[in-house]
Amino acid sequence: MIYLILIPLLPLLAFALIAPLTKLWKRKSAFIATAAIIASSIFSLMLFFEAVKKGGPIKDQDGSFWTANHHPITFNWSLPNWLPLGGSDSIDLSFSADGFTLMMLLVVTLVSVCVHIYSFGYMDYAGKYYQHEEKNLPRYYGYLSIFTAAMLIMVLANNLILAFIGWELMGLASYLLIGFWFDKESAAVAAKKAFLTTKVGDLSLFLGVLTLYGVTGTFDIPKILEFASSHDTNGIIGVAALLIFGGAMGKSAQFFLHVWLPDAMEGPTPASSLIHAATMVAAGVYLIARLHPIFSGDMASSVVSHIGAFTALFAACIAIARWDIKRVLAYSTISQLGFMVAGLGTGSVAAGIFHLFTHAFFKALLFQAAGSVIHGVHTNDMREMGNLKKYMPKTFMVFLVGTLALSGIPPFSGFFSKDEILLTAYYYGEHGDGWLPYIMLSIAAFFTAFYMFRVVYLTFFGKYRGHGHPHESPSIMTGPMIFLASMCLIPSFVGVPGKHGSWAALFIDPHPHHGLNLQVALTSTVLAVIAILLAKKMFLSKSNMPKIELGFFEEKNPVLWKALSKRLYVDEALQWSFVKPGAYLAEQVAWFDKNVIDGIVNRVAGFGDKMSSASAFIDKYIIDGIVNMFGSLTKAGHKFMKMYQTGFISGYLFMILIMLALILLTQGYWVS
Amino acid sequence: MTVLNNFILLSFWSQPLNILLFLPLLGALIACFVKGENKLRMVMIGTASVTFLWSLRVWNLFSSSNAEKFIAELGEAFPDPFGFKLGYLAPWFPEIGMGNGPGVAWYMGIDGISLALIVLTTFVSISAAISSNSIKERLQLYVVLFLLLETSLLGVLVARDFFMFFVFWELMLLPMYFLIGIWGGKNRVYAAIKLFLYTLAGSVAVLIGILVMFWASPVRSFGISELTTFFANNIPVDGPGLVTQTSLFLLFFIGFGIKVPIVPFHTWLPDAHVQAPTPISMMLAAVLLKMGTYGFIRILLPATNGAIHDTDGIAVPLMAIVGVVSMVYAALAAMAQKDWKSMVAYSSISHMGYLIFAFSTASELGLSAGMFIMVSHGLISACMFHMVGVVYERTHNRDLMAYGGLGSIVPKYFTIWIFVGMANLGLPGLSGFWGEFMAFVAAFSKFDWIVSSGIFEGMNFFRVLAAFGVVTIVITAAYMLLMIQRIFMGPLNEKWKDLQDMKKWEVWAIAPVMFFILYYGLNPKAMVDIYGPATARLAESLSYLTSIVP
Repeated sequence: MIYLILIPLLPLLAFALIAPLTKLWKRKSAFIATAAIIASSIFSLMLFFEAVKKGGPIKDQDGSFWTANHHPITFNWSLPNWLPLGGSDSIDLSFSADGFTLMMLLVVTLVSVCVHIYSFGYMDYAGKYYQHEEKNLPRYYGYLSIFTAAMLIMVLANNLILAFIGWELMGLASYLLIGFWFDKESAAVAAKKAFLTTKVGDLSLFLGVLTLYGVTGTFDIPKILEFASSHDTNGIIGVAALLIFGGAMGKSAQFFLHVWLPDAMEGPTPASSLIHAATMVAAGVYLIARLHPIFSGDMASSVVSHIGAFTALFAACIAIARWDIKRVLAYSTISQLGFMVAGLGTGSVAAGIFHLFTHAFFKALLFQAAGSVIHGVHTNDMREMGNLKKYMPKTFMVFLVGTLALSGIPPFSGFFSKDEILLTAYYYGEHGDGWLPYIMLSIAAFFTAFYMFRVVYLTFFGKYRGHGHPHESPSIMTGPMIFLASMCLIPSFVGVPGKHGSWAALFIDPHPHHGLNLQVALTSTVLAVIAILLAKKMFLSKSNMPKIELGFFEEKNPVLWKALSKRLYVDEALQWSFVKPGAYLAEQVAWFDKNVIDGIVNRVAGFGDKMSSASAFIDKYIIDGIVNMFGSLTKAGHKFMKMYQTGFISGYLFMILIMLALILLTQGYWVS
Repeated sequence: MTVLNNFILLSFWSQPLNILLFLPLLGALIACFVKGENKLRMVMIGTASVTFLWSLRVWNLFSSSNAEKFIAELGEAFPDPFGFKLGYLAPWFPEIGMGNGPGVAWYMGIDGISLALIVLTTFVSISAAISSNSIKERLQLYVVLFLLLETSLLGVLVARDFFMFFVFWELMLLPMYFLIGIWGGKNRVYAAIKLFLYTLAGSVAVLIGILVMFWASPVRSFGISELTTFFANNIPVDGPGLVTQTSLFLLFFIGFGIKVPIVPFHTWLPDAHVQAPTPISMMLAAVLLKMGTYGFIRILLPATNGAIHDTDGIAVPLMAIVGVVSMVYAALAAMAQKDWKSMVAYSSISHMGYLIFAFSTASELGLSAGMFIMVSHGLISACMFHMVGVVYERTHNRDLMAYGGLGSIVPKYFTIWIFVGMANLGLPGLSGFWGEFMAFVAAFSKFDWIVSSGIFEGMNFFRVLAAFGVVTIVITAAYMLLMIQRIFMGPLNEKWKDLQDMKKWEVWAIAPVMFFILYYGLNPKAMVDIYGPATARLAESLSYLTSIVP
């Protein structure tokens, strides 16, 4: 199936076209990148309908639902022996798509198309530095293309190595886009932080993949899943699953590796909308879903569900105390990713993934609307907004739609997907695995509605508190937003829960599902409505308006407010527990290297030097000294003897006499 | 005077490997009689290019089927027993054979392992030659020494005789000493002497090792394959034989390890790199270090097979632990360096650690990983040193803290650094990834080493080490990104606002290298195919012995 390889290849080609000619292309680069991604999305749609045609319409057992996955449709494309691993083992360049992958493909390509179009308006007319943006367009679209290609590779990958490659390349694209305005110190730092934090997760993922390889002897996803389904998943496979979950925690910003995502908002807003809201951050969730069978062990599932639910609650709390509209959305993203992870952990792939799909659309929408607001008022700070519904009616409408979807108000898509997660969490509790996830998720759902309507009231209602003149964005920006807003409604009806779960759920996972549970659905809806009313009371009533600048909580509960506005000190904790000790260790190692190891080397050399000096000394003064001594002695003897060579006969005679006398004397002595 | 007799033989000069070996020397000879800067540069780049083209010709001959024919001046042509190709043997000092073997011989031949490194050497030499544009003083001497260096490197790679190997191994130091000592930075004399003496000390260990093997063999031959095979097969792996094997292992491990370099014998490298002129740094990192690792795969592993497969012995744990320590330690040290070149030098040490770790598995995949790292690190480090040199030539400042915000001033330079930096930190899709990846996979597929005591008791030795080792990936990412942030991002340091972007020749010096970084990243099989049969053969001979170890 050649379409399959074309889907990631086209954006990659776009990147290859744009990259070398950045000076030449300018706006053309935008058209190239957009054309490529539109083509990719068309191919994805074709594959999707092909799958529906082949697999369905098949009546389900009771004749009520269509499903493509009862006879799994898969498309494959493979280039064998990409990297020989010795022996007959090798890694193939192989892609495959089944029903679930195809839905993911659709989401990624459609959101990507919207962002590509929207970006043209945002980057061209409304970038950070309003006059220079055109020359940055090729760079921007190049990064977007490589991101899209990487994401599609990751989605379609049929083995874990290929998935890992896509995963890492997404990290690169994310790094480049967060640091897009790299001459801003904060952007540079945020980019590095994002790359390194996710890299810590990637390390865990890498070890997990290697552990799986050690156990199963293969990197192929289908073979691994087959292995997992016939083996105990609590032992080493559970460990591998947790290691892989570590990777997902980094990419999908789960507590405590979430710290990079809010800072990632330094990047251009449309990029945030694509990468840090809709697609890349969902990659972790996607990976867990793809490898779901290995997560079926008790340990893995309980860790995943609790971390997910805790992240959902934790991030929702922090979101309440943010003034930056993008930061609220960032924490909201973390929170919603927590929902998805909890959904997967509590045992329903369909719930988690369905929420991923709906979330991708409404969160991309919310980010784009926020971008439109920022574009209109030239600030991120909600304290300088207000009453924008008057100036930006279209943006207001789509933002409201997104907010309602996110808050889980029927009939918007978020209601159905979130409901399904709450439902699985509810059953998870009912099965005796613990009520904690359900409780945390419910509270998080309440807070979600609260902080989102706080944003709505602060931004679009009340009195305008800014200084500039807000204006509506051009239609190149509102167009994609309206499309995304419509997508907040359309998935709803594939998500209407029936006896065996929704159509979407069945497309993802053919196993029987829970039907509608009115009790859970009503609880969540009522909670959301209460939250909205509460937000209205707090942030809309006229008497409270002046207090907005101070922050409502600040007065009532300064300690809590401070903790929330300091993001519950997670950044600081990580800074003090990992980053600073790491840097300190590096300094110490460098010191050790320079002074101890190299010190020893220099000492040894110095010792050699001293030895040679000593040896030279000995040579000069002792060995040669002895030689010279003989010379000197001879010389001295010669000098001594010379004294007697006077040349006077009398002297010689005298000497002879003395000698004779001596001889005679000694002779006499010896004789006697 | 058999040496002279060889030189007048036509068959000697018709050997493709001899031509390869003497081409740079011929260039050096020509350079002695050429006057004028431009002409000298032309001679240098021209010679490097011709040598590269000839190495491609050698590759071509290597791939053709009749290359296995072995030519010996002593007798008939016969098929090579060790799987080498383009073999050639001529007597050199047969007197040493004492009538019981060929003695010292002019004995050459290549297999996939040496071929990959030969092509890497000739390829990187061109880049370094182009990069030598920044050398202005005493150019004639420089060109002669540079080409002499290339000959000595190629000599090590084609030699199959220990004596010949050792001669070229030592010859390498001579041009290196002068190249750093004359054209180096402020502290060049210290660095040159340190390089010379330190690696000479390693050579002593290697020489003793060679003599041990020579006297252990009943046949008075210096053939590398002959002696290593004999030693591996005939020195028993128990009792005193094991002691011999282990001592030999230690001799070669330290001897070659100094050249690699491994921690703690590495401190000569940062000094040498910091002081060396840019093109010499490129040669040093890309090729010279590989001579040490080549010694590992060509001599150490085959010869001390018994020691390596002794599960109670120290050989493998030592090698693996030193590998992992090198990788983590040097990466941490790199992070704390204030000197740009010094940081890149430590990065080299760290990557060599991966390689030693990969070799320590002694499996086919491990050897393959090591070879991949060798070539890929050769390409990447050459680029990195060239890139540091580009700005150093303009600013004469290597302090990482002295820059900032260059990204918008020198966009071309910035882009290429991102590419090279990403390659160095092992981004998938570029060649740096595959070697590291295979090294870890090799560690994870090694089942027969279990830790017998301590907190990791019962766990797989290599997996535990790998789990420590992967931390390097994050540290590497951290220091590369920190460097990129410090140099290119943030507000512009006004001092450099007039900095010139890369010139055309500066880009073209490494553009082909970058192409291959990308190419082997996307198509790793192309690289594995070069050396694959050789590493597979070696791994097979290694595992053959495993089965006879009780």
